Amino acid sequence: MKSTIFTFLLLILSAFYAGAQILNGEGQVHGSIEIDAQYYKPDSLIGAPPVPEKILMNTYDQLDYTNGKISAGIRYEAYDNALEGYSPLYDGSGFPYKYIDYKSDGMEVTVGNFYEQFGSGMILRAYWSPSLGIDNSFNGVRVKYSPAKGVYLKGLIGNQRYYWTEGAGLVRGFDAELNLNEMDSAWNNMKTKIIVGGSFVSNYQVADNPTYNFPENVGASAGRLSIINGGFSFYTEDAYIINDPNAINGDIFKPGDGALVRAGYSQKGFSFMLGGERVDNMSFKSDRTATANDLAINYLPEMPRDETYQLAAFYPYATQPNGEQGFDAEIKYKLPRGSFLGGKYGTDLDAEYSAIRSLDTIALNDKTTTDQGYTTKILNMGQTNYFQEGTFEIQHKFSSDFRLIAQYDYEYYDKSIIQNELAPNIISNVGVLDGYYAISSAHTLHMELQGLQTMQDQGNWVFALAEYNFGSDWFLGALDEYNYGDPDPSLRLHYFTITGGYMKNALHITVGYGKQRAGILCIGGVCREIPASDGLTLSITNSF
Amino acid sequence: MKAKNIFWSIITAAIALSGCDEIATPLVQKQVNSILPTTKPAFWDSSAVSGPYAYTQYKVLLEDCMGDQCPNCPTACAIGDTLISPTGGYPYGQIVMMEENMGDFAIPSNNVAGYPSYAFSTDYRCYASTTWCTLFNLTSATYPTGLINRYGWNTSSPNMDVGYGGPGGTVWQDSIKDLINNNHNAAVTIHIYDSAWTSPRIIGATFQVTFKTAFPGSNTYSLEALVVEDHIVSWQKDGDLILGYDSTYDHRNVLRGAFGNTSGGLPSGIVIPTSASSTAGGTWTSFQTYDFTKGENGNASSWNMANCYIVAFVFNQATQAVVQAEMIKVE
Repeated sequence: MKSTIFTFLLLILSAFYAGAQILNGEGQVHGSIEIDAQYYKPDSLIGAPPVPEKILMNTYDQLDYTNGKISAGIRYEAYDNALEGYSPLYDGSGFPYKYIDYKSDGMEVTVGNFYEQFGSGMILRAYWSPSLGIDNSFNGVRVKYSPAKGVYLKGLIGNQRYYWTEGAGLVRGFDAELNLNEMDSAWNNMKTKIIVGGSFVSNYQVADNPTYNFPENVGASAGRLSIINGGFSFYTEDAYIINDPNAINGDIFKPGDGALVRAGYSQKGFSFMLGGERVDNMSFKSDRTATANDLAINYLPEMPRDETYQLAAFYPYATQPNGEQGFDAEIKYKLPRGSFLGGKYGTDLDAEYSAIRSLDTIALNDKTTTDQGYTTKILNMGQTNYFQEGTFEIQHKFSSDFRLIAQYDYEYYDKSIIQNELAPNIISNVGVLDGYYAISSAHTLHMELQGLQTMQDQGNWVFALAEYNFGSDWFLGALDEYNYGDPDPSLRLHYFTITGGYMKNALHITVGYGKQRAGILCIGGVCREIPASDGLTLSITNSF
Repeated sequence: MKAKNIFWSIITAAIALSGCDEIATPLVQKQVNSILPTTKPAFWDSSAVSGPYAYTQYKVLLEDCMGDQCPNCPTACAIGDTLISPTGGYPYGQIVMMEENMGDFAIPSNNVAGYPSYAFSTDYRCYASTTWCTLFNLTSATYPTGLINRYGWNTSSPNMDVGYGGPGGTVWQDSIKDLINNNHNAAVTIHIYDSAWTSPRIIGATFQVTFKTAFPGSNTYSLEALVVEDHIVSWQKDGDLILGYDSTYDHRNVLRGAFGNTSGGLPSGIVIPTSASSTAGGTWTSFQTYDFTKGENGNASSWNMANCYIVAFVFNQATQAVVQAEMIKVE
């Protein structure tokens, strides 16, 4: 407890003093600091458990130095102990991310830790998301090289981060991308831009299981094509993973495959996007026993939108790596300024629809033979409707002082699939009103009113938020989520929170006090459970 | 030029070291305690879902501790049989019940006064039931008695049997009701996939344990895998009958032995890595075989495979408390 408080105070001081970029000769130092701390109170009514430490804190502090062709960096992380909702395997502190990078003559070499993505990430994406508790960075060597104009090559080898240790698998990867317009002078001025790419990734893990002949080298490959012509854009990627029995797919030996297509058109005041995706047994981790978000080598792009409003995000979609197929379509249109409905500033309309279903599969009784698990009818849609969402949003600026956003959101949500718990399917309707009013140049008022109606799960909710920004740097807010429709009258609870803070340039300080309902947070189809909590929160971020 | 050479050397080395291993025969042929036949199994599961009740539901393990020379035991058995029946008040399959022969009433004898020499000469005890009888201090317990999810045990106070409440007693019902009311969904699920070769009398079973919530990393959990045989018609003392016995008594779900080896199996279970149990969604899989020609030091050769079930449960090694149980017919 004493060390927690000491670290906490030291970090707060560091955050305030991290005020400016430091110049040292030709070198430059940049950094950032983030502190998230919470004082917890148990609340059995909302399901907030007692936290023995009372206070928990996560902090991430990055320092980067660049001097000519060389750059180096280090990140300190401390979880004293990890905030509720984060794996306790994070408890502790250290320097999990450190690198040296050298760039010269079209070549870049990185040793140490690094993040990387091939294409859309379907066979390789290493990234860091503190809010999701994900860091699957590599520790090894990466080389990027451009041997000729328009030719971009990458190769890497390394182990992935697993909390404070490393995963069992050794990942090797290679990616090549050809920008045809850059390669040939004759193509250079063409209106149509074409980029093609291909990747190969292999994970090595010792196979010593007495039951299964697990493959020690699991390979994955992907090809991609991007075409852009004026306002038109098209992207497609197809990926394949050879037999990769793992904890996610139930140790079946069926190869995985996935396909992604996105096409869009945009011009001033109008855009249209259509996307489709198919995922079949595409969990690819550097440890075949890993579960949840641990040690993911790849990332499966999400079809539905990431909702930002509290109640619209109540039932977020989580990508199902074992199998799903779906599509997403979005159209945006701006009613012109001066028109009857556009008014003085114009009106933005946004309509989007997504649908995700299961694959059409046939189970096989082959556990003791080839153990493929199932076969898939590629051209058929599955019988199970996982998720549907239709969203319509209007954004209108009534005057230079007042802007209003209205949103309606319909959702069909198979909770038993998405959250893996026995529950009825949920149909919800969400309405949102979001207004900004500038009282003066230094005083603004932000208010939200949201309602969620559903006959299932916890029933109806209403959400209200008021936030007042004053003195250009300060803000004060209050919000309440009220579960007025819970089938159990004793659980019709308020989740009231007050917040306040200070924002000056990169320095953000936020203090909050109140209750947080249990739920899940999803970003890009990757999710983390958020436990119920009650207490005081403090968040400080700064960068220089 | 030098940089190019370095780059291509690295790429060539990476590709050479990388690769794909395509596996044509997923199962390792040589198993822990026997070798699976290469022929097609006579039976195998088609649903990949254990038990008659949804595997995602919480299930309670009821262990009916008894002996064939225990006159009051049929009364307790009847209570248990009612509980596991479709009309027992719970979804069929939510209670996994085993008859475990142990204690003085289960010691075989061919010299029981007033009975033929063969009446109680069969030993229905097994290595697992004998081990548990000692571990849970049931040697001198009042029979019949029962264990419900093995709650309440520690090394200094090993008694956790709850009796049975006498004729019409509701001790088992009440305890089970409390557990089910407090555990709507299973915190742990157990998938059992089984295949059975009737000719060489071998079964192979894959046990897939999934922790739906993260359990404390300081606790260790184990999987116990057992074979039980239903409908063994044999002698049983019965104090409710005028004769005082039933020579054609229908013994239900009799514990026969544990998976693990041919000399009685592993009554202490197979340890599940804490990396699986301390992670929400953590999964661990174990493949086990049971050779009916060798199991329980050869005693298994006389068991009726067609009436056998596989029972599996996950328990806390320190407290012995069972967190989930499953049962699937050998087929």
